Amino acid sequence: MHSIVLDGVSFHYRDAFGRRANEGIVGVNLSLEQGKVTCLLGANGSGKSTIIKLVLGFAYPTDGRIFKPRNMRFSYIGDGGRSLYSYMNLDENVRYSYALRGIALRNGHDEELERLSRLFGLIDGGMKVSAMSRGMRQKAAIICALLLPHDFLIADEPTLGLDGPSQMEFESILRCEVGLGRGVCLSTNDMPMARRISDRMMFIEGGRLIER
Amino acid sequence: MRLIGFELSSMFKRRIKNPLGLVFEGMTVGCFLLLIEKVLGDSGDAAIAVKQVMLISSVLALPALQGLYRMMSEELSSGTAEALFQVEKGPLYALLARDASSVASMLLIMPFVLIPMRLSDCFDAALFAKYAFPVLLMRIGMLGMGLILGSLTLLFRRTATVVNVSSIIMVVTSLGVGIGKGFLNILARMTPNGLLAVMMQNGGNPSGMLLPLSLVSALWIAFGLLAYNLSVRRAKRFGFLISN
Repeated sequence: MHSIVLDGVSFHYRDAFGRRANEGIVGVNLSLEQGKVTCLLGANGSGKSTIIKLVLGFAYPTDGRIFKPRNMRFSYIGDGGRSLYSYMNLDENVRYSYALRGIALRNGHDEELERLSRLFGLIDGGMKVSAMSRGMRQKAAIICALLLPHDFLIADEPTLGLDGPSQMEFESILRCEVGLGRGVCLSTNDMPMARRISDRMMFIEGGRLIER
Repeated sequence: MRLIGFELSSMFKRRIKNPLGLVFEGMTVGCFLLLIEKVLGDSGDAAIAVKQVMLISSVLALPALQGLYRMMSEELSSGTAEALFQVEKGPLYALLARDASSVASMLLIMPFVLIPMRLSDCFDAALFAKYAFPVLLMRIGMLGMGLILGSLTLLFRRTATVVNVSSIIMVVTSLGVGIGKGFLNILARMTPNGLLAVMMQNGGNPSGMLLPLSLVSALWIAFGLLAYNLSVRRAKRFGFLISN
């Protein structure tokens, strides 16, 4: 099993001229392991998303280092389905993500997409993402991420806007992911859900990891 | 290649759904070409025909100049940039695929450009084929300039004015306006579209244009990639790709 290690990682947001805008995270030491669900908990603006974006490589640490296996494949569920193209439908979004990675669609892609859509009660009928409600967009983002080949699933507030049954389905899927040897890291404010699904809970306050 | 295939098929589907848009765009470009002909009425048929090729080449180069700027400004604000940056060099691949799709889209409207051209006295379709390679090289070079503008957008976001002014300068220069002698002429020769315009205006042979255009375009592509890499590195260091 591989793991992602954050070693004394700090990150400060800056403006275009390099002046410090606001503090992101400070001196975070953390290890995210495959085969486990790690939940990042904390108030809004505490730095959960910053950690996730650093792990995904959307930003470089100001201090410290992040160690991750070179060929590790990530799948990312963005907050509110914002990472989906609004002028495409779900299937087109999935196909675009595959094309962007230069990989062919898996055999049985259509069946898998249909199965997941049914599981989450997402009857989109080719609906464009722009026409979807917030909850539907979130479901679409989850399905899109699950369909991409990955070793680590990373999610930023993945259950916001989800209805009860879909949330339960999502939780059971996360356990399946772990069963398949994949890693899961998600940020959430939903403490009961974090208790139910996580192997490790990390609390972040003011950009600092305060408890393990 | 898969991404180019995806973009091309999406573009074809979009175009098929809206054939009137295709006709309208083609006819509009054709009407502009006719307008040029009227404005330059006493310049001689051959000179006007060359100017028409120059205008079409500048229209063809506009998406190259504005491509990365549009992608960055739209995708950073909508949050979809996260999807692109999940893949190393994802924005560059996406840019190339969208650019190929925009070229194919322009080719689709060309038959409709020819409809108003039936009223033209000077239009010479053979000239378009004759200058195809120089125009292609110029367009590749303009991608490099577009990379620089897009890189600025990644760092400063509000660069619409710079991009719009650059586009206007490009179209005007492509028509040979302001390219006289001296400083402006030297300046124009440093850009792919300006160099092509100068050479076409001087009645250069297309085969003689290939080497200078290749050199200038290669230089701009190199500068563009350098600017892109530097700006992405800086954007990642400063947290510009993180949309909360």
